[in-house]
Amino acid sequence: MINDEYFLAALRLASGNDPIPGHVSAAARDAYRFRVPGGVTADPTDRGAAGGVRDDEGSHLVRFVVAGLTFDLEITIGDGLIDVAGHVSPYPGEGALIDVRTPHLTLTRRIAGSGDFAATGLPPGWLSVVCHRPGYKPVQTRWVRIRP
Amino acid sequence: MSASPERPDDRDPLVVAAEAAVMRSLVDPDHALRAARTVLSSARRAGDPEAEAVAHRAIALAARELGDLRSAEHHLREAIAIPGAPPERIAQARLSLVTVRTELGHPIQALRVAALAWAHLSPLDRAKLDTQRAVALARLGRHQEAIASCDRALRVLVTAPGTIDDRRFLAGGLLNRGLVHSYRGDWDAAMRDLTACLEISRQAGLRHLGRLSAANLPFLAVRRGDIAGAFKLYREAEDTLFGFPERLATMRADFAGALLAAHLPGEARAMLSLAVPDLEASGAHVALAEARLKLAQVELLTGDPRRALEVAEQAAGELAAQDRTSWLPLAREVVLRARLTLEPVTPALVADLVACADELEDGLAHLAGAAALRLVAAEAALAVDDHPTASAQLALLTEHAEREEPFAPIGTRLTPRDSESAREAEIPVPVRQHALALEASLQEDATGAFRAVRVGLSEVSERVETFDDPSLRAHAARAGERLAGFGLGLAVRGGSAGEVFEFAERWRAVAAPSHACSLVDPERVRAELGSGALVEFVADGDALLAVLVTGERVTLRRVGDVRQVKEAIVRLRYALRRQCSATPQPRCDLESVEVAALEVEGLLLRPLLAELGDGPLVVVPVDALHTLPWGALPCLRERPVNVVASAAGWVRARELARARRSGPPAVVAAAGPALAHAHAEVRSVLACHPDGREAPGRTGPVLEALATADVLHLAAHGVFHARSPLVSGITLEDGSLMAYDLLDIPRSPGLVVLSACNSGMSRTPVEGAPLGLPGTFLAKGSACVVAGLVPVRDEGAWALMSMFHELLVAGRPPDAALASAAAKTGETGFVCFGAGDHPLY
Repeated sequence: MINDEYFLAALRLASGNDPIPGHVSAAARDAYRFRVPGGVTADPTDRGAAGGVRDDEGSHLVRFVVAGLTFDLEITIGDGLIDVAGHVSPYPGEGALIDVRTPHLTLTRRIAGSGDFAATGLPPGWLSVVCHRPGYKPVQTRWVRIRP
Repeated sequence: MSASPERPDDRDPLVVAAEAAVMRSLVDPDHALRAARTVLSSARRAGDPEAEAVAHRAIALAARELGDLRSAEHHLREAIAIPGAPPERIAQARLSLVTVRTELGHPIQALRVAALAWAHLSPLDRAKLDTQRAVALARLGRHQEAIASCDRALRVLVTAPGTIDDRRFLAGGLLNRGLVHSYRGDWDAAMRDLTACLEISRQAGLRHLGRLSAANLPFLAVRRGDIAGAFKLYREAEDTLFGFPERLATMRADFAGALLAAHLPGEARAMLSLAVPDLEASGAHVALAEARLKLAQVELLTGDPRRALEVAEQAAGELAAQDRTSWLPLAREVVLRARLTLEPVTPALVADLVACADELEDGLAHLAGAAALRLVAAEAALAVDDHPTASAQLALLTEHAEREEPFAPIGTRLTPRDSESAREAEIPVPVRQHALALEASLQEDATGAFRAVRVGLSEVSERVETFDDPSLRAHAARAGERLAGFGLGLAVRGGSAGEVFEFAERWRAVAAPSHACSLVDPERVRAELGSGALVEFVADGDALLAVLVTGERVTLRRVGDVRQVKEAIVRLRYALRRQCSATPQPRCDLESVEVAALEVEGLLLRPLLAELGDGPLVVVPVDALHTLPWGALPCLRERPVNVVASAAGWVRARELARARRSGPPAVVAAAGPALAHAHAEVRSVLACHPDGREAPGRTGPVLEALATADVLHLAAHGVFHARSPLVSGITLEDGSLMAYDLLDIPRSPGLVVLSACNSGMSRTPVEGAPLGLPGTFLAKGSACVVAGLVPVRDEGAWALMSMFHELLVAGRPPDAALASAAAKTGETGFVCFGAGDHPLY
């Protein structure tokens, strides 16, 4: 049964009678736009909670790690929009840049000598950060969803 | 016809069982669904078309309650199609189909279905039909007819025999009429109907209908100005509607609309993002289209024009498919406003804006929105140098105002009678005054422009006065935000430091708690300053400026770019947070703080340093500057800094500090739970003061201490809620002492020390009234509040606070004591709010 369906689908594709719908190609192009050529993807990991602090509620903290590079992101939500502060360690050196990306917006920031960067006024939703270092492959974080 | 209720014993038992299921559907839909399915299969076997039709209707009604609109429609259509079913039963199925078709997005068809049903219904059932027609009429924007339809129905239903079905339609009719009243903005009438509906539902045991009507209470509470109450009602409704996803989603969407109207777009967005997927899943197309339109408006207000555009276009498509033409200009408005922020202005876009404003005005329901859009159109026309269009649009907004009527306070004016005046009355005052100011400035009449802004702001201020709740005051003041921005912009371009100071203070006074409303001029501030300096920051678009008031002069300086400064502050706060959470502190984190602090200092204070002198500093922050721990900036270390919401607020806090009785202050200190060093800190603090006592760390004793103490010191966890800043609080043993709890206290100690994380944080929806703990204490009569702006380490807070109190007892004023203690301990996260320059000993 299932094989028959595959067979029929293959026949349709082969005969060119089943063109890809426009919105599917558009979505594919949109997704392709986010590709970072040659990029390495950093996955989220746990980070230990801080003790001995007079704070009940941590703000939104995420850590991403990939071979040789750690991103810490702190996300604060204000009146609708979000602010992102972050730290890259070890300090990637002079000339390194950070792209803070949402599906429609990329803010490029230089990284301070301390490894810190920040971007403000982003819409909530999907977010990813890319670090470009001269002489290395770019490193991107997985997309995370920030709910307002 | 076998439906005669005269002798129930003779009636067809299957029909009786099916009718029982119909009755049950609103009380217990799950049970009704099971019962009706059993009846349906029996009726099919027995060949009983009447019972079959009634059973289908019962299934449909239950499915509708459970949020499955498609299944409801399917069963009603089955009922209508049964051959041989009595015409009255078919008409009853049509009656029920009216609301279902409406909610599925076909209000016009629903009205046709109602017309088909009419002929075969008894007078009582016609009244019931009228309550359903009202829903379709209301969705089409035909509010007058909807109310008439409900009125007609309710007259009949009130005198009906009173079966549970009659009571249900009576209560439902009241609910529907209440909703139409609320669409028309008549909140009191809406509340009356809703209360009556709740009462009838309660008496008749219609628990489910009761739940549904209670679900409208949060929405109404917001519209009547009770935001805190609204959230409480919302949480209750959320619990009772659990298991009815479509109803819950509709409730959330309605609530979001009210939040949006109350200038709370962030909160509205949170509600809508929960509601939209559930409405999509349940096929509630009518509610979905409205929710999507609101979502588009929210996306625009919260700064995502691209999403706003997409969502508004989608909503427009859905509304058009539902023949709801009166809604379309609202969707178009969002599209055009979004395009205005995404694209360069073109003559074509200006023409579209004008056309959309005209359409909104023709609809009569959106006159205020039409006026606001017309102003935007005029500004856009100016951007492409199209002065004739701009003038024509402005003239429409100002033609009635130019009669130079003497200023009369709200409430003393006569109610306009003819429709022309009604139209005029619908032009919001800030919009009209903004248009007048713009007209004047186009004619190079700066004096006239300033006058128009002043009049507009004082009217906004009067409206704000009607609210007690500080968060509502702040949000109501937002109506004047653009006008105030225009006035400030004029002053900045004029280049006069005095005028910039005046307009900055004027705007802050609009939202400020009532005590800080009286304006002060720079002379008054200079008289108070002595050797110190006051810096009032203002934002003019993207530019950040500072008005510097010193003993010698008042000067205006451009200091940086709003976004740049904000990002530098976010970096500094982040570095401080990391420094605080890492133990032991690595050297690189200390360096991070230093680097970030120098950057903020360079952007913000370097242009002023030459004139700042080295005396105490008073800072009036703007925007992100409210979150800046000023003591972390190297050039301010060891310098007393007082942070205030306005210069007027500072003058008032100084008066309070001076009015304190002499003699050693009565000091009360309390420790919150779950901290290793809080009790030790309380002991250290009390050991310093001759007249000190410890209060138990519970809300009751702390509230009592507020009424008697001169100094209150709390060592505890702090929680800041950016979204609901007045829910922020200090964690005590029996719960949180929230800013809201402070709104009713009769007095507040002269000095309040909050030795807790983030306790000094505020959200500032409009300048002048930062919402949070410090602002609330100051509004209640404290002269000075010391609080943390970042997370603080338990041990570090203990060290800092011990030294701070030692210095107080040695005769240093709170601001200087904090500066010295911070410099000595390296804990720079605390800020002195209000006027802390008066020694306690």
